[in-house]
Formats: sequence, C-alpha cells, structure tokens
Amino acid sequence: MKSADLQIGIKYGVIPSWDYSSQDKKDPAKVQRRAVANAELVSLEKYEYKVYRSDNPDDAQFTSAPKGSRSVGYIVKSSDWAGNTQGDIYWIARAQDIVAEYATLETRWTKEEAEEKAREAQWKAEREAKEQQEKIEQANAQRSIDAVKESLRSIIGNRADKLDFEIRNRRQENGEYKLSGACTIDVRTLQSLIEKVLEARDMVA
Amino acid sequence: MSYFLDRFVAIQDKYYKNYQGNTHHSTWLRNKRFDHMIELKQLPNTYQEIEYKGHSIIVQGIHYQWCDIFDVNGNHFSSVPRTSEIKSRGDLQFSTIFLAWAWRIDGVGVDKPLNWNSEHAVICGSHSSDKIEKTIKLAKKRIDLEAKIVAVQDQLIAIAGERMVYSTNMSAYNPYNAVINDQVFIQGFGRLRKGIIVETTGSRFVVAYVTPSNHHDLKYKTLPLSRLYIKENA
Repeated sequence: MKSADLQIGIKYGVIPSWDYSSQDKKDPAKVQRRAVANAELVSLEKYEYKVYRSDNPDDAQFTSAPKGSRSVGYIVKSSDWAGNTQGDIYWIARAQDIVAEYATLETRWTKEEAEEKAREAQWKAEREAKEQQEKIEQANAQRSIDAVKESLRSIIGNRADKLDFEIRNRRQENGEYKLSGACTIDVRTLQSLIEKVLEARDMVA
Repeated sequence: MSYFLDRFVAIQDKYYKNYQGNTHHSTWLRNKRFDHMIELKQLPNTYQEIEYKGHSIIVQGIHYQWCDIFDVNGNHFSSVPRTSEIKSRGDLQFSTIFLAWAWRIDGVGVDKPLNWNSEHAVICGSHSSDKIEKTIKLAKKRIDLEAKIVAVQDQLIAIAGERMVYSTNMSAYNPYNAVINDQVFIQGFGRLRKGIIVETTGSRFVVAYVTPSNHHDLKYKTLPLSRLYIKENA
C-alpha cells in the first residue's frame, strides 16, 4: 500500500518482515491467508527498516529513520500470524509489505473458502455417486457370473469350478468404462461343451 | 601509472593484448546476442586508478566499435562471411563497459607480480556498468563493506573451524532476531560455516566468514533471516 493511504489503528494484512516477500504475496487479489499477519498499524512515524521483532514497541532496535532515507517502515503490532506461539509482538513493516486492509482480504478469503467448500462438496457427491454406480455394476457382474457358473455346472458338472471368472473394466462404445464379467475357458472344457451341444442338437433333430 | 595499475596492465597485456585492435565477426557483443552477424573491433582498454580507504581501485574500460554488415542483396549474414562477401556496412556504433578491480594496499602478495587478473583481489572485475561513475560508486560501497569485514577478521578466523550439523528441518534453527555482530551459521562452500553479521540491507543480513584454509579471502553472503542458523543451546 502507499504510505499516504495508511491509517493508525486499522488492521492490515502485513507480510511479516522475517518471511519471504513475493509479488504474489503483495498482490491483494492473490495473497493467501497464511502469508500475511493480521496486524494493526501503531504509528505513522517512519522507522529505519530492519528485520527485528520485539514485544516492546519502544525497543532500542527500533530507530527513527534519518531524513531522506529510502529504507523506512512503520511499526505494526500483531498476535495473529501463522506459526505464532506468543502474544502481541511489534515489528517494522515496509509500506510495500502492507498488502491491504485485513477486512477486505478476509471478505475475499471467506468467499473463496466458501466456493472451495462447495466445490469439494460437489466432488465428494460425484465421487460417492460413482462409487455407488460401481458397486451396482460389480454386484450385477457377480450375479451373472454366478448364474452362468450354475448353468454350466448342470451341463459339464464339476468341471465348471475349474473355469476362471473375473470382473474386468471394459470400454464401452461411448468411451466410458463399465464393469463386466469375463471367463477364461480351456479348450478341453470347451470341447466337451461343444460335444454336449451337438449331442443335444442331434437329440432334438 | 602507479604500482597497482602497472601490475594489472602487465597481466592484462600478457593475456588479452591480442584482442585489442582485432576486428572479427560475431553474433555476440559482450553478453548481448544479435540474430545476425556484426563486425566488431575491440579498441584499446582504458584504465583509471582511485585510492580509497587503503585500497587501490582500478576501473577497467573495455570499448568496442561495431556495425551491421550486409551482403549484395542488403541482407544480414547468419554465419561468418568472407570479407569479399560484405558489400556494405551500417552506421558505426560504440559500446563500452567498465569493470572494477581492487587490491588492499598493504594486503597479501602485493609485492609480487600478478599471476592472474584477480589474484588476491578484493573486487574481481565486478560492478560492471556502462557508466564509469556508477562502477566507481559501487566499488566504493564494496570497499566500505570490506572495512567492516576487516574489523572482525580476527574473530572470523577464530570461529572459522566451528561446525554445525544439518537437520531435516533447518527452519527450527533460524534465529528469532538477528542484529549486527551476531555470530550465525550459514551455508557456504559446501557446509554450514560460522560467520558474523556485519551489515543489514533492510530485509537481509550481510554475513562475513572465512574458510579455515584461506584466511586472506574475506568472504561474505547477503541472506534473509530464514537462511541464518544458530546452534541449539549454543
């Protein structure tokens, strides 16, 4: 933010001086919640900018900036920043590290978080619907396998148990994949099956 | 010419004399690249020596004159042309770059001729700019920093051998605050090395250090707080 726009007592989103500062963090439209502290501007007096944090606003390390100095900052106070384990601390923040009023950032984050939540809920619903569908397909495929196995048993006896049945993902014409049963049959079993069929046809004829 | 300038010009002439006055064709003009060949000639170097805070700063000016070259159809060349193929030349242009070098006047090895350009130099041909004033200003700033490092040289040598082991989470060892004259570990020359903060640049700290095998080369790094480490219970 510009120095002229700063006001005492207002809570701003401030990039902590001991943390990396980047273009994305400085952009009010992109900055993320955990990149900034919810800090209050304590005074408009210009201090020499340095990386130093203290629990005392009158710390000897905080020195007024000489006139004309370009490396200046303002004292800010915060207890609300990522990784904080103590109470209020004071540090010097450059105007460019003061991103925007915290309330406006908060509005955007809340909106984005709500959208994210809705998106997640939609993904979850879609995932659950898909899982349900798969479960049904799995059950259908298993049912047909069981039915086919029973019918075969009545024709070829216990040899039906030696057949390998499995459920595979098969590509449909419309490009979607669907679960369906598949069977691997050895030639001897197939031979006896064909013999049975031919016998039966002869009997019918 | 003074002793330091003589010494520097001697080594320059020994290795780079042939370049000066030589005309050649290239797509490169120092570090700038063209998409076509140009003709360039390196003019004789110029030198200026300044004495500043016990150091001899030499500003070396490297000068080129160059022009575009065209074939019979007025097109640029994409590869090195034969002289007979060049039918016309563009306007003559000039390009200059200034580099700074500096030696401590009472430093190590100043009584011997140089074996290479930057032997025992404090500034090794850096702070390049196309304006001599800017190069001088940056070089003086570097010498000002050098004075601060020299002031803690004995301490740096005493702590040069200290070691710190790496951890999987190095950020746990970042100091909460750091001020000038604090001793911290930094990553340098292959391991964590102990140095002293001699200056701050607002958001970053200038940490001076030396390696145990070379106490004359006073090194420094400019680092943010998150790249400084302190030993636990130290």
